[in-house]
Amino acid sequence: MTGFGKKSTAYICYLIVNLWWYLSCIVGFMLPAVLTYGYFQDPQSDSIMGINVPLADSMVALKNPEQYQHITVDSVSGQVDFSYLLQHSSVLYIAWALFFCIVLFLFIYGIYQLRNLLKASVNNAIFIQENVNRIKILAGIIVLVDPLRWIQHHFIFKTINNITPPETADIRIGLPMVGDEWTFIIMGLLVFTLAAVFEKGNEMYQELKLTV
Amino acid sequence: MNILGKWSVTSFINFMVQLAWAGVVVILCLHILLIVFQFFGLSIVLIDLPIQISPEVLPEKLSMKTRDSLIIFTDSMQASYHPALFENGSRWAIAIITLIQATGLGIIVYGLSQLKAILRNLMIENPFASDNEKRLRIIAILVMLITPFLYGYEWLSYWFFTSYVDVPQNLQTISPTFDIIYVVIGLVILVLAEIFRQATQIHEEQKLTV
Repeated sequence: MTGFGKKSTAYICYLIVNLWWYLSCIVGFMLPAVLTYGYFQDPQSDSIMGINVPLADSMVALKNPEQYQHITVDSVSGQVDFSYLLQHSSVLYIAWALFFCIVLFLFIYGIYQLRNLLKASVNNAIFIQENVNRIKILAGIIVLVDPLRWIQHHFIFKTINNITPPETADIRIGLPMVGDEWTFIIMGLLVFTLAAVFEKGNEMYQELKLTV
Repeated sequence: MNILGKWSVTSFINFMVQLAWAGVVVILCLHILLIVFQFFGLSIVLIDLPIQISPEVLPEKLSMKTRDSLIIFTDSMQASYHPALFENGSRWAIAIITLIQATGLGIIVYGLSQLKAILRNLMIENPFASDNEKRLRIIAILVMLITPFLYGYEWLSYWFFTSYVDVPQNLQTISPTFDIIYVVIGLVILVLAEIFRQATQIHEEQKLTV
């Protein structure tokens, strides 16, 4: 399955990403509405949604450690209930909702660019300047993933930890600055490099068209 | 900021990939040594096996209620266990695990080698080399293979844990889930490989025209 057009890899990819795009659009409309509804509803009522947080290593000691020799707990994540958050810090709730909406927007925008790139490929319009810009935008969004995670850990989780009683839970704040925490930055730079190669290809194609 | 050539973004990525490649090669060599040791009756596994445990074994304070409002509750717990837990007579299980881990590491080394070769071509400002497209295709297939490989590895780990480990009665394990994201990433890389192929063709045509 080489080439572009129908029944190609690009077409299958386009179909999957298109489905992803429509689902993202539904989520993109629903979640901000749910977050706004959550803000105005009674904070005493039970909420099924919350913020996922990683828990500190000190919290993840097993009940009867002597029974679980050779088992190491690597990570535990928990969920802080929205009702609790609204009762204690509505400003934090708003800040988190805004942050979440920005991340959601970036994600949907990235999917939109990928969808358009694949659509152009399926229509055999590969070497156009718009596609170069689309790949560059995608690279920029991928590079932003890690810094956004750092912001989430250092500001939002830290504030949640401050309003949570110490005897209840301890949230793991901060990410190690080595290891896989740089994966998305490297991946983004790699996509950026591909965009540069693509730009060169586009220039060559335009030159060739003029020559012919 | 230069993107291609020496002292560019590409050379920085190449350095990071080289570093990762060297690290994985060292671990792979250790694994090959361990496979040889298996023949002499020495069963050692370097990397712990993953297992998802139900959070019920955690202290109760992690699901605490105050004034009718739930503060925090645990929803997932990723743990790992060492195959030393296996009961007697399961040396073959350890051998299989070492072999699978070595295969996984081998695939990573091969994928990184292909990526290194592409980056080297970009560093010498030869992005439209004909082998780049083939290498990208290989990387795409390897990335797509991650999904079934990881799922199979996690299932095997889960199966060995439930079959060979004498676990306390209150410990509940969760079966692994299928993650399709790598298949989609692989497909996107395949599309990029096709773009590379067409760009290489244009490059050849341009050279002939000149």
